[in-house]
Amino acid sequence: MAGSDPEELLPLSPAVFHVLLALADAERHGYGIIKEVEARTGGRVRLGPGTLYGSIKRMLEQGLVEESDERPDAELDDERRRYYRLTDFGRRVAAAEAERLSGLVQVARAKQLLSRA
Amino acid sequence: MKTPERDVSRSRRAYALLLAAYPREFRRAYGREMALVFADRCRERARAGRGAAALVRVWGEALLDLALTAPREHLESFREGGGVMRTLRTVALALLAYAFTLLVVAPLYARNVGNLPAVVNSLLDALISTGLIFNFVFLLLTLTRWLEGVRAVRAALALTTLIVGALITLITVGGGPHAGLSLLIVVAQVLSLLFWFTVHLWWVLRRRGSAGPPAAAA
Repeated sequence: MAGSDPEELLPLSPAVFHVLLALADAERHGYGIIKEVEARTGGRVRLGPGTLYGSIKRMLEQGLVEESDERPDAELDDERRRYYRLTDFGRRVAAAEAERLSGLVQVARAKQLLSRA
Repeated sequence: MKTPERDVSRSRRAYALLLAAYPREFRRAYGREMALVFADRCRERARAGRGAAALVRVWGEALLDLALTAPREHLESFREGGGVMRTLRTVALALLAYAFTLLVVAPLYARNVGNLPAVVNSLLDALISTGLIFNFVFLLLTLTRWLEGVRAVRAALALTTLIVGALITLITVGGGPHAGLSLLIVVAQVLSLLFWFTVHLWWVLRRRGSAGPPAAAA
């Protein structure tokens, strides 16, 4: 799957895209991902454990993310927690989804559904 | 504010029990992490909010999340397990047993209930009642992939024994037309349970033997 075309996986579910965005700048464990998504969306998106790990399971299978052996968050380090990071393919898929959404936003602007910020 | 760590710990244990709603493979892979995440959420809310009362909201969210995601994981697990045909082969015996019990044994029993010797009567009665329960439990465990193979057969035996035992106790203690439960009926129930257990065990072991290494490993 990791060698395939990123476009084949689009559109992504909101949960998957949020997880990819959360991992775009850092490796995180499950709760770290939830906190990052919550902070970035002003608390509007709250991923539950089932949603998060269901998404992670599918993302691991599709080669979008991988488990990391490193422990980047030394202060909050917990041997029991698994950390995840984006793969190159995951990064390309996230970029493709962002492009797709950006295209939709441009259409919405062209149809004056959005103000030009 | 002091964190009610005991409440968090209790909540985490209760949530860990609820994870049984997910397929076994999913639970094994992510159950511990999910419980950790849930505990983190509880701790954070308890610190920020109103102690134990804040946990109510966390629980509401967690239960909704569980209700929405557990069926999906079961569906995926079902597909990954080889799909409809594999599952049908696994539960074929239970389905056949159901058909045989309902279409052959039950009508035969109903038609001749007054003419049959007490021993045959009791055995047929037990075969039908335990068969319906045993096969239902086995089907439920297998189709949800909660347990499979020999484990599912053992669990079906244990649960059916519990249910039949409870029913016998209720009838005996509660009075009614069958209050004078004879030893014959109890023996018939036990023999029927062993019959269904043995037949299913044979089927499962036979399928395991013919499945080959990859399927057996799965």
